[in-house]
Amino acid sequence: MKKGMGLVPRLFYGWRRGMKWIGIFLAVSGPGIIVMIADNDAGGITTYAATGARYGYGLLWFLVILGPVAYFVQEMTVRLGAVTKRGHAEAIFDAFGPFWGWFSLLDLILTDWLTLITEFIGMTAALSIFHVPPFVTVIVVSIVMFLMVLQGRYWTWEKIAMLFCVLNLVYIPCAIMVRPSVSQIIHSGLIPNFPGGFNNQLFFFLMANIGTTIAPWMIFFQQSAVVDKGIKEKDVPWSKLDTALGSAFTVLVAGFVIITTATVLKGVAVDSAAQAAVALGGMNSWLGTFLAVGLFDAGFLGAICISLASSWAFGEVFGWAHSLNNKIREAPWFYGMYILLVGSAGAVVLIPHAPLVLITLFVQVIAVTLLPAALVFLILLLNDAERMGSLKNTRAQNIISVTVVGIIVALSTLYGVSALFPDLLR
Amino acid sequence: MGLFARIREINERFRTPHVKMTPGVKIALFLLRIYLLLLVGILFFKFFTVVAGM
Repeated sequence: MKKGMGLVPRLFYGWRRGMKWIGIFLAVSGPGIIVMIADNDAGGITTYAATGARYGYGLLWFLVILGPVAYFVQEMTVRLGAVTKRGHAEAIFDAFGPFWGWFSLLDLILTDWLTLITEFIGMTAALSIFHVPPFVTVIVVSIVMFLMVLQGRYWTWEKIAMLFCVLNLVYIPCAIMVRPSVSQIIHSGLIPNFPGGFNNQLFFFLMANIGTTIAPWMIFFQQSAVVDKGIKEKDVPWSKLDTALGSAFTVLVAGFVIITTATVLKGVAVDSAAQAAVALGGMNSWLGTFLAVGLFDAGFLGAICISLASSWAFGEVFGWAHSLNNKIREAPWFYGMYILLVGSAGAVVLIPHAPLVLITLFVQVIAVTLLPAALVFLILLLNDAERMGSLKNTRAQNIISVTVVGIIVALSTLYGVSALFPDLLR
Repeated sequence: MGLFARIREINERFRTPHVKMTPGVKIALFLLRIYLLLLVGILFFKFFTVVAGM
């Protein structure tokens, strides 16, 4: 901008520059927002609904803290993906050798597959409220998921996923409809406190909220998505903004789920989000419908991201073509893996008397074996000055990330162990 | 190429870890091994407890 320029040219110049920035952001954004909103998957919505019903607005402050925590973890995947042009699975193989590579890959596949089953459980439960039989839900969802990747462009897949992300905001009108007390939210929700005192049950809920906010598949998904989208080092600041916005959205949505159940279901024992939707539907049919639609959407978003995280990881390590920009005949193994994961997970839900509760328990435990490893590798890789150059972790970033990872590892381990031994924390 | 041949090829390709094995990296990997061994131990303990209780 030239000195002495008039007001109108200045405004025009500013507007042009602003539009250019928005254009760049829109082109780069996607992986961060999608991974963060998909993080509020079926299991996450259930946890938030149960938290609201049990503790009212009391733990909203904790979610506000979890937002930046999720951001610090995920932004590292952005830098790593942009610099190395490798997904997390391949990066682990390359940096730490086959032992840690196979451990991470096989653990990821197992965790993802089990989590995928829980997403299908959530989706079938949500649509059963509208009297849709589970087999119809599983078949239709599988076909839609297949069609989403079949069109052969990452860009198209991402934009469809973003549409489902927008649908996740349905919890906002839900919360407004139940007319919560804003002053009560501010006073009892946003000021850190431990409702009923710090006891074992509260600790279990805190850990469950951490477990749903930071999941191993998120690290693998975002790094692979950054690579598949072709994010370059110069785009990293925009990609970080994308991740920050996503973490803000995830906290917002989770907060509104808690506000909804805290306002109208406080004191009710909520075991699943579908149960909460039925209970709310009894009060106001629109409310129940919104919650059920939100639950289905959460499960669907989780399912599309989780299945892709695994397929990308396998493709990277096995050296198959593994981009959503590939046509199916160009990357048959990549798409085959995707279909196999989706189809088998959906089929498990349809097996009569399948041990679905046991599977849900197992997800928590198996994820705990993978999360610390993935996080430790992430920090070690981010400190590899030879590879990362100027984007390696600074001292301040290391202090923050080691602290965050240490706390997550400790709490998620306790969560996993307490899932195995429920009496431990009672 | 068969699956096992492919796995062998992958093991060969990634045989040499490329991260610089500083004392910090070695300690982190060692602690990770201990952590995972403990966790797997707990899992086995739980499994045998459940089986024994059947």
